[in-house]
Order: sequence, then structure tokens, then C-alpha cells
Amino acid sequence: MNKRNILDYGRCISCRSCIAACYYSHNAQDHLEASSVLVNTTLQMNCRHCEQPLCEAACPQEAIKRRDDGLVVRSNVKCSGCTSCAQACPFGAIDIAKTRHTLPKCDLCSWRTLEDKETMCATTCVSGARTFEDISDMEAQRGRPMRGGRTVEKTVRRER
Amino acid sequence: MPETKKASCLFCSLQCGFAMEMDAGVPVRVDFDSEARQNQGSLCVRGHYNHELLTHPKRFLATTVNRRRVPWTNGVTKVAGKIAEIKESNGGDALGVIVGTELSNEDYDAAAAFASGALGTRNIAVAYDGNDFPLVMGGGVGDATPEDLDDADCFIMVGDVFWGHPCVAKRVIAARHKARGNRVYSINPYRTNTDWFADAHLTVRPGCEPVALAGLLSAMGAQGAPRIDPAAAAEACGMNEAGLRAIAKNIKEHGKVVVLVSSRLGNSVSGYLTGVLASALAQATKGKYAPFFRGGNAIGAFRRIGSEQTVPSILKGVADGTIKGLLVLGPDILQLYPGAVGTDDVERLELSVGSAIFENDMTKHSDVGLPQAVWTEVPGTYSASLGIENTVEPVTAPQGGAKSVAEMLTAVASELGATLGGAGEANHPAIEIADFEGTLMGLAQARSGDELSLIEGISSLHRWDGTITGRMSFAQSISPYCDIWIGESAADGLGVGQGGSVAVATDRGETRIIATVTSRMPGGLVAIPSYVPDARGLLAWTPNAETRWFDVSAERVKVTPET
Repeated sequence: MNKRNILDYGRCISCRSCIAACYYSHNAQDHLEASSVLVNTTLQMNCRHCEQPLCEAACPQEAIKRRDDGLVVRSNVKCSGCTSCAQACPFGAIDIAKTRHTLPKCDLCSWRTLEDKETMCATTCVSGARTFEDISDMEAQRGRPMRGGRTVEKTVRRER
Repeated sequence: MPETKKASCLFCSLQCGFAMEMDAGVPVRVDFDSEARQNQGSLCVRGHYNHELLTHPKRFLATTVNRRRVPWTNGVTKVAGKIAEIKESNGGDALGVIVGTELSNEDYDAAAAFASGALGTRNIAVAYDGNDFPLVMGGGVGDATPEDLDDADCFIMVGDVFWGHPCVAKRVIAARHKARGNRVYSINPYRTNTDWFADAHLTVRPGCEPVALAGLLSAMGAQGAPRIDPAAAAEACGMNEAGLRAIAKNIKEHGKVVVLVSSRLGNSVSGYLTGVLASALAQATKGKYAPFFRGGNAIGAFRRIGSEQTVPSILKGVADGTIKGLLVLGPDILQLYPGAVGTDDVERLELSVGSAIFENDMTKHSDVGLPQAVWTEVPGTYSASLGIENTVEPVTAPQGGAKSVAEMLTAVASELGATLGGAGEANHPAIEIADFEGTLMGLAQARSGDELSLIEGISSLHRWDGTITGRMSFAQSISPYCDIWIGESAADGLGVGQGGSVAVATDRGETRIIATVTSRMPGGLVAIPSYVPDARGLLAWTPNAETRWFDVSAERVKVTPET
């Protein structure tokens, strides 16, 4: 599977329905929490599912694994909440759930993608900004990966 | 493959369709319904709470009499007995019924028939959210369909449509990008994500949306357009006359115009005039009109329940003792109208009935509390915006002892020995405005709360009076969205400079926001250009030099020392 969540910043209306959809479908673990509070647009702060994930290399518990289908998944059971992966991630896509002592990260709604459905955040998006697309031919489709003229003015605010 | 059941949301009048994912008959999470015409599978943040409504631990599930749990039939007998007593000693008009906007059409029919048939009272009214009532009185329920949004080549959006009704955003943005000449215009006092997508944003003064619409109509030379000077209207929109005329000309050149209105507008006067003029603009351009309301089934309530009474007038009767028995079906009037009625007034009533989904102040202070079923628990039909009639099949049986309003009222009526006949047509008294143009331009020039009394007839009608819903902390709701606008002379008097920090406080808390000193605000005016319910009344203010606090209707604005 070579599909990923894409966010078109030029279309985002910052309604945060993607965050709500993610929250309710993942047993209240905030996979998209880091992307939440922005005035102009929501930032894509979810897992990129890297080809050579640094979080996997950093994890001492072997809780993070890159599967054959390309998904980087994390085991809730093995995770000890040591925050190594959060420090290793170059995108800041892993956030610390303090109450649970685990580090939730995007799993691309694997139970939905198995049924050939789109991810929750892409399905719920009300403005068509968040899409679930094949990234192998994205360059050809879009010219450049990120489109839209809007600049993200504010810094990401992490509030707990 | 998990089982899913389709239903529709009732958090706004768009009534988006969704599916509920079930596990052995128990709803586990909200799923999507891509076949729903109005939202095509998308859901906004509120939509995802439909699941929590069913499983929330604070659901009100047991009938109470004098705050003690009793079987449902005991509650019904108590209500019927008291109604019979009050009716015999004081007549039917000593009883009142207030309903919310989240009931089904069947519930409204039952309530109307119950009031006229079983109670024999004219005191029935709907507690509308925000400015739903003035807007629907002004412009009606609209004639646009979801497909019209796909085909449109020009949108005029009044208010923050994408914030209030996000699920139309996908269609509007897609239609805008379909062809090069397509246009989106927005009329909104402050800049939001809605306006980011607009080709031109008419930044009107708060409450002046109808002035902008009238200016456009006048510049277009539309038949029956208000006789106002486009230059004056343009000034209220913060632009010059040529700019306004250019927009009007461009709108006229488009063949498929859709006017979208979000109901959270300044006050009842501007809400009403916006309805009148937005529908007139749609008519003048041979386009479609699509108003969206805050109340989920506000359209159904408007069509089915209408009398000369309003919620404030019924509550006035409660306060002065002419109404002895009150049935509140849905809303929490103690929270919605804190100035009009208090807990003492409710407890003094011979009969008070509170029916709600969640435990609230009204159910706590009522003689009888009747648990109400959520719309996804009982079958019903609902009238949505965009000409959609929704039929909802229950996804699960009502929790605990919850019942639909129709079921409750039928049971009470049969105890009374009455039957619920057919409900008549809703009859809303017409609103007459003697000097239309004067009223309109008065909005652009109004100061110090003048505008609230511009039209005697409707200023008291269902006005969103800056009351407190208690659903969200004030600081939380206001901080990320806006700054405060201060007129130049007011800023001098206050000693606040451009970008200074200003504290704004209400009963729900205090927050600090940035001041924008602007010549756009006439003279001594202070406004929070945001659709924060508490900030509604900030158009008027009274300086108090001693305390450095400023009483602004329900709020106070305080200037803090600049550091």
C-alpha cells in the first residue's frame, strides 16, 4: 500500500473535524492532537510512515514496527512511554499522552484501509483538504507535494 | 464487516447524514454515510458527538417527582392531575408550553395539538437558538437544493458559513474552482476561514450585513431594491462606492447565484433584515437562497408552532404569577433566559415540568422531570435546510425511561381524558416596518444600543440577548478567534493603544485579547467582531471612569495597564 494522508493547506478551513474523527475512532488516543490549535489552518502533524523510520530505530521496546505494506505501526502493549520515538521523529508527529504513559501515533486507520476504505480524517474532512491518496504518482498529479497559497502564520501550540 | 445504521445529525439545520457503527446492537462509533445528499459523508466536529449523546453518563434517564425517582406513569399522573387543577381554578391560559428546536415534526404537531386541545391555552412558544426566528421570518426557509450548490457559479456568503455549517464547504470550494470566472463573495464583520476563500470580503461593521446586501441590490438597480445610497452602504462595508458597484456588476453577470446565510447575526433586527434582503438578492439575480439555522429542526418548529406568544412573554407571565403551570420540553430556560426567569420563579409555580436529554437546571428545579429520548432513539421526521426532509429510524432503543415528547404528551392527554387532534397551521404575526430605509441605515449609524429598539415589534422577539449557555468557557471560546475593535475617541479615553491588551469579562470568566484601534468603528464604540454569544451586546457601552470597567450589556470590558 502506497497511500498516505495528504493535507492541502489551501483548502483547510481549520474546522478540526479530522481531529474529532481520529479521537473517537482510536479509543480517545489523540493521534492528531499535535495538529489541533491553529488559527488559519490545521497542520499535517500525523505520521508520514517513513521508509526508514527513525522512531523504529529509537524504540528500545520494539514497540514500533514497519510492516511489509509500508505502515509504521505501534503496539500499545509493548510501548512503555519512554518518549524515545517522540525525540527521534523528525516531523514531530509523535506526541506524548501523559495520562496513559504511551505515545500514540497515526496508524492510517488500518482496520479501515484493510476494507479498502479511506482513513477517518480524510473521510470526515468537510472541505476536501485532507485526502487519502497514492503518493507514488503524486508528483505527476500535483506538480509539487504541497499546494495552496496560504502561509501558516502561527506556530504550533501544544496544550494539554 | 460491522453492522451500521443510518441516522442524521441535529446539531444544526443542515442535518447531515451519518451512520452509527453497531456492535451486537450497541452503538460504538460514528461512521460515515456517503449517500447523504447534503454532506456526502463528511461530518463536522459536532457530528462526531452523536455517539456520545447516546452513551453519555450524564443522560437524564429516570422520571422524577420533587427530585425523587418514580415510575414514569407516576410522573404522568402527577402532571395530568396538576394540569386539571390549574385549568379548573384559573383557566387554560394559566398554563404555558415552551419547546426547543431539537424535536421531531411529530413532536411539534403533538405539542401544538396538546396546547390547543388538552390545555386550551394560547401560551406556546419555541425557544429558538440565536437569531433563527428573525432570519426565517425575514427570508423564509430558502429554495436551494444541495445540487444547486454544485452547479452554482457565484456564491454570496453572509456570516461565517464555514464555521457554523462546515459541511457545505466542500461543495462551495469545489464549485468555486470549477471554472475560472466563478466567484465567492463574503459579508462578514471579521476575517475567518470562510472569508479566506472569498474573492472579495466585505468587512462590514458588526450588525451591518443587511446594509451591505441593500447596497448590492441598490447598485444592481434591482426591482424593488431599497432606496439607499450605494456610497453610504459602501462606507459601512469599509470600501468605496466603485468597489461595491464592481461586485454588484459581477454578481449580475453570473447566471447561477446562491446566497448562503448563517444565522448567527448581530441582533434580531439585523437578522430579520438580512433574511429579507438576502432572499431579495437571490430573487433579483434569479438565483437560490439557502439560509442555515443553529437549531436542528428550527424549520420544522417554525412551520408547526406559531402564536402571538414568545418565550420572553411566557416567562414574564411566570415571573408576575399569571402563569401557574409551565411545561418546558427540551431547552433549559433557566440557562437560556437567566434575566427573565430564576429558580425561585420556577419553584413558585404550581406545576413545573422539565423534560430534557441531559440533566439540567430546569429538570433539577421542576416538580416533575421527564427524561427525553435523543433523536437517534426514536423515529421521526425532520425538516432541514436545502429543502431536505429527513426521516430518522432509531439506531437503538431509548435509554432508561426516556420517551419522545409526542409519547409523553399523548399519555398526559389520555390521563386528562382528551385526545390530541390534528395541529393547525402555524400563524406568525407579521412584522411591519414603517421606514425600511431609515431602519436599514440606522444600523450603519447606530450607537450605544440604539439599534436594539429600532423596530419595536421584534426587538423583544427571541433575541439572542448575550445569555450564557454554559457549554464552553468564555475564555476558551473567544481567545483563538478575535481581537477587540475600539473606535479612536474611545481608545483615547481608555488610554489603550494599537495592539494593547484588553481584558474582557463575563459571568463565564475573563480573557485577555488584543485591541485594534480603528477609524472603522465610529466614535466611542467598542466591538468584539466575533460570533461569541456573550459578545453579542458589545455594540453598546457605558464608560465608568472610576473602576476602569465598562458595562457593556451583559459584559464588562476592562482596560489593563500596558506593560
